[in-house]
Amino acid sequence: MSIPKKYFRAFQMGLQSAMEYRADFFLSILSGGFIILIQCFLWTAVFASTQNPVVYGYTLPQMISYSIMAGLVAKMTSTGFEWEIAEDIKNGGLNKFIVQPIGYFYYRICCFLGRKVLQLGILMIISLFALVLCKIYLGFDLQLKRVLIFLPFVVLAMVLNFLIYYCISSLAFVMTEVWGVFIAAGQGVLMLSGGIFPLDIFGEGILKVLSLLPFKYLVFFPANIINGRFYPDEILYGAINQILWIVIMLFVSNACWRSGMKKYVAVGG
Amino acid sequence: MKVIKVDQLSKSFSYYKKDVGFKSSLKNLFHREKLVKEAVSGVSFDIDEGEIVGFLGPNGAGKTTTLKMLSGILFPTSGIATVLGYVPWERKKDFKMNFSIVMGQKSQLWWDLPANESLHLNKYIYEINDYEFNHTLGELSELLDVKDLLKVQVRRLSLGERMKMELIAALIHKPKVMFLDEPTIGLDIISQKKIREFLKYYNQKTKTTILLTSHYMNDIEDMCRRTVIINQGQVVYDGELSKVNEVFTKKKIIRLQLTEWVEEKLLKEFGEIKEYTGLSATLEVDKTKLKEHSRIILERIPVQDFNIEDIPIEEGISLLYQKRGSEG
Repeated sequence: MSIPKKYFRAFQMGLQSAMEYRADFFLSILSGGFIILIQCFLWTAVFASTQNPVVYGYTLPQMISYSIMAGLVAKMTSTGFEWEIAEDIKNGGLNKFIVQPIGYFYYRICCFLGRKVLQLGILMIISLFALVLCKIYLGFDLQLKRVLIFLPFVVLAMVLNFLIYYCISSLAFVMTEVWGVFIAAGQGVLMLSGGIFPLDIFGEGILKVLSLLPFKYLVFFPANIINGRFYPDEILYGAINQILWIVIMLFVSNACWRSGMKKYVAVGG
Repeated sequence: MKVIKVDQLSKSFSYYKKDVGFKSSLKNLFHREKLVKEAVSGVSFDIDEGEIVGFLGPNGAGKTTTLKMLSGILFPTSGIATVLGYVPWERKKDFKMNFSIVMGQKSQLWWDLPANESLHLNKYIYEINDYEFNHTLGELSELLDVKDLLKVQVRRLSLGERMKMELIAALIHKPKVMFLDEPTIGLDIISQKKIREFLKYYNQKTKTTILLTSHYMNDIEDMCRRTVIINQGQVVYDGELSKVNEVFTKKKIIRLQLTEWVEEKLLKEFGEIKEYTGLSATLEVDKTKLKEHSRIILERIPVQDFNIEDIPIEEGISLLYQKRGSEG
């Protein structure tokens, strides 16, 4: 009996429990649609009111496809397990992981990926449809090559986002009530990752600062790969950065959790 | 063989207080006075292989804290404990593979999935092979009479059914030691009895060492030959439950049925009157004077029926609970 088997099982259970509530599952996918819709109207209005065909370096088809892809990528990488972790910490659900021979981190990430995999598949299909529609109606320059490059970046973005939220959720060790923090963090991460507007809007200076943070690799970077805004060497550079951030966040989340656990076992659930 | 050894185990928590009102809330925001509570102070006991020991004590006595330390969830402030030769809070894998803990108020099952799924997860967590898993699962679900419920979403089960599933989940890897924290809490009498009978049978059959807490005296009386009572973080009694009263109360109860009306003051001189109707009475009598008083009662008073009884265990125990730990 090999060790990874238990984690594969956790993956399966995540998948199964995601499928248990069908309405919730589909609504959670649809919920991103409203923001996308608002953005499309907004940008169409912006482009209509100016003579310039390029705004912030984007053409209208690029901007629309960015808005759609950003919304969808943000959904693909979105977490949600942070609430469960906070619950585990607050109400002592963590105990069962302490007394059983299983690692909480691996268990969580496997569950998370299990929950995501089906959603990811469906969102991918929706994305493809949306992009084809953009191509037909807006003349968006859709290239298969870019789509294929985009795929691994989304998976990496998912892992990176997991790690970021795994860190954030460790706040529950120090704070009993984390509702506000999670909401604020969620909005902050969404904004800084380019999930609402392309980051170019913030201007050169802030974009430089944001380049030093991990967030842009969550949404902005993968979404713009589809847009064809990067040269191959920029994509390679981005890939290296993304992986680097994953490694860094692995260490950070490990450290957060180690100190949190020390506190947890001292106080008890 | 001693399976559990606990020596001078202590645990203290720090906490803070807040007075009523907004002003003190504001004050607490900036400065909090730290207070220390000794949840467990200097608890010692040993448990042999195959024993079922009841762990008794009022709310807040430190039972759960002790169990948490013995299962490695909490670090003690001081003291030593070993379970199966392992120090629990080192959390060695071999230790985890051989024990389990059931908390009556916390579930280890996945709420939204059938119990089956959680059990399968445990199969992989504890690295149990297919044959063994199916065999154990079949046996346990048969014994607990929940075979048909394994495929039902856990949230749809009744409390009693869920507890049975928890027990299966905790026993599926055949632990050598099992801790149960109030396994019968909130259950009806029949479910309580079922679970008691199951645990007793399971213990006899497999020689699994069981340490359990409960507030239901029936649980403890029925299952445990030995009881450890703690109060305010200290062991105040360790022995047979039925002998608690011998040690701690020096009284017995005399019940009388009378053939004719007897005045209350006539009975008063024998001991404290607990119940009196004129034609019947219940008296609490000093053990040392029991013989003498009995003789006098039988001589002087028109008795139809005469019974000498022990004080109910509950009463002896509540006496113990009221005592300060240090005096016990």
